Amino acid sequence: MVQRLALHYVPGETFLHRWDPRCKLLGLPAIAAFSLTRDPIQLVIVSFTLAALAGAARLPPGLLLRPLRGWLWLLALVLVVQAYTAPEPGASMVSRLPVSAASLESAAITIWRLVLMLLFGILFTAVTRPAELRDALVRLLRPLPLVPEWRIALMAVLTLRLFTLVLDLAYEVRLANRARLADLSRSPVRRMRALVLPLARRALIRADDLALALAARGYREDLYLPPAPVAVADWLPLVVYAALMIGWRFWDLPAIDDLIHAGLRWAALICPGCF
Amino acid sequence: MIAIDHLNYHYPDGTAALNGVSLRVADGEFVLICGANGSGKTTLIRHLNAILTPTSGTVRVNGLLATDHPIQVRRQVGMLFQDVDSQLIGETVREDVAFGPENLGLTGAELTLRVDWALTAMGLAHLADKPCYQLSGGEKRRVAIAGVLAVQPHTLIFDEPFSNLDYRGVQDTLRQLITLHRAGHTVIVTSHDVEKVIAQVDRVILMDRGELAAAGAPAAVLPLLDRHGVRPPCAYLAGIEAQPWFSA
Ligand SMILES: Nc1ncnc2c1ncn2[C@@H]1O[C@H](COP(=O)(O)OP(=O)(O)O)[C@@H](O)[C@H]1O
Ligand SMILES: [Mg+2]
Repeated sequence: MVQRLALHYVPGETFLHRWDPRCKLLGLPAIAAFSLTRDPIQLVIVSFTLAALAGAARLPPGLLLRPLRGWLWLLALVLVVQAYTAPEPGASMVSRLPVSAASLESAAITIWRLVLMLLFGILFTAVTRPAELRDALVRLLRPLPLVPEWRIALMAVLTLRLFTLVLDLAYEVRLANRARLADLSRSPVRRMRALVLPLARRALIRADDLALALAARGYREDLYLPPAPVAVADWLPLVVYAALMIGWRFWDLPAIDDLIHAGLRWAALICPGCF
Repeated sequence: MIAIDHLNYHYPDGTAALNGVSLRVADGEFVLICGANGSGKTTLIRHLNAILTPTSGTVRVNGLLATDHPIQVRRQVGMLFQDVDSQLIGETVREDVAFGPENLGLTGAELTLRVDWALTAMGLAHLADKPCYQLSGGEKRRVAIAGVLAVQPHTLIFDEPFSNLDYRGVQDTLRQLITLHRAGHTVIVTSHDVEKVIAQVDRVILMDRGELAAAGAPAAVLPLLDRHGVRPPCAYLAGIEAQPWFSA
């Protein structure tokens, strides 16, 4: 029984699914890296790019958003901690709350960046088969000396596998909790225990099974994976991306956010009431 | 009585797991829900105690709409999951069985009485203080049943109770089902393998690809099983009268 939501492969025939996994492995993080900024405009652009990519990959609606519900409490915690730390003296306060407007804004931006990173991870796993990811890692790491590429690739895939496994188990355990009236329990500690104990127990059992299954199926690290050259079309997005980056870095091309700011100013001129 | 009307359920990924299922289960009935793997048995029964919410359609338990009164419905309909390990919550047997009654607000002597009653009913009194993870598979299943009984539901649902059991395990489980049914509970069992219970149940419900393919007395549904991907019992294939796996 799988929840088939977060971190699962969603079969498809779109260009994102077909894009060579090696290029995907380099390309998506390159785009995701833009969410490291603290500039809200740039975050908006990254968010739209992400939404456009998810749309282009024809992912079922809700795939990106539903898993976030599970993270909400963690994100809320980050928000609270961030908002309460580092209030500069004399900063303007949010009405009656002991947090400054500036620290609240900075906390919100931190959350936004975290969420974007998570979503890029979900997007990547939705359009890449685990076996493709493994082979891509092996092929990418093979040229490096002294790197056990098979082991690293297997670790990466297994980590992902265990992660999805734990998410699936958590769904099952949550339903079982509900069936046993856990929703009536008023103590959050008790509710947490009711979730974590069975989850940990089942995850450990499954991890054991997985290790045994690997051994039983004759896992070995000296397999030969034939080289597979990356097609030109697959390289193209990366080349364009790199060219733009270098262009901005060395030749003073207008930065994206300058373009956007200029666009917004124009829009404000044309339609002053809109802003 | 449980009344299901025009039930549809789509999983969040878009899988249409139930399509227009309508069904009645009378009080005190012993019902088998069978169907091939993936035919929607688990999804269907998870609506009967409001742990899944219909995409459309309604589920009523004794007149209560499951979507509006999930807690009351869960008190009346207990569920045994296919994998007991997702269901066992407490550290020790006693702690686990107490989980449900505690949620109902029972404390002190009342709680102890209820837990002792459930433990005795499942023959677990001597294991009360044993950690759950040290139990055998059969014992774990009994703890799970005790945990559900302790809430005193009128209906008990078992999801694939015979999977991975040996001959003795199947007999024990059957004996438990029959005992619970005789005690007055409505009992609903799912299975992809009808052989083991068909001789005991009042009614068989056949699921196929999310739809209700047939429902009726075992003798009426038996001829349809093969067509819907369920293996008919050997006795039926051989043309002889079925021998129950367990006779009480
Ligand atoms: N959490 C889930 N997410 C998406 N699809 C699911 C999920 N659980 C079950 N399914 C799908 O719903 C259908 C019915 O499944 P299920 O009710 O488990 O069948 P059964 O119990 O009869 O084997 C199957 O096609 C299955 O793949
Ligand atoms: Mg099932």
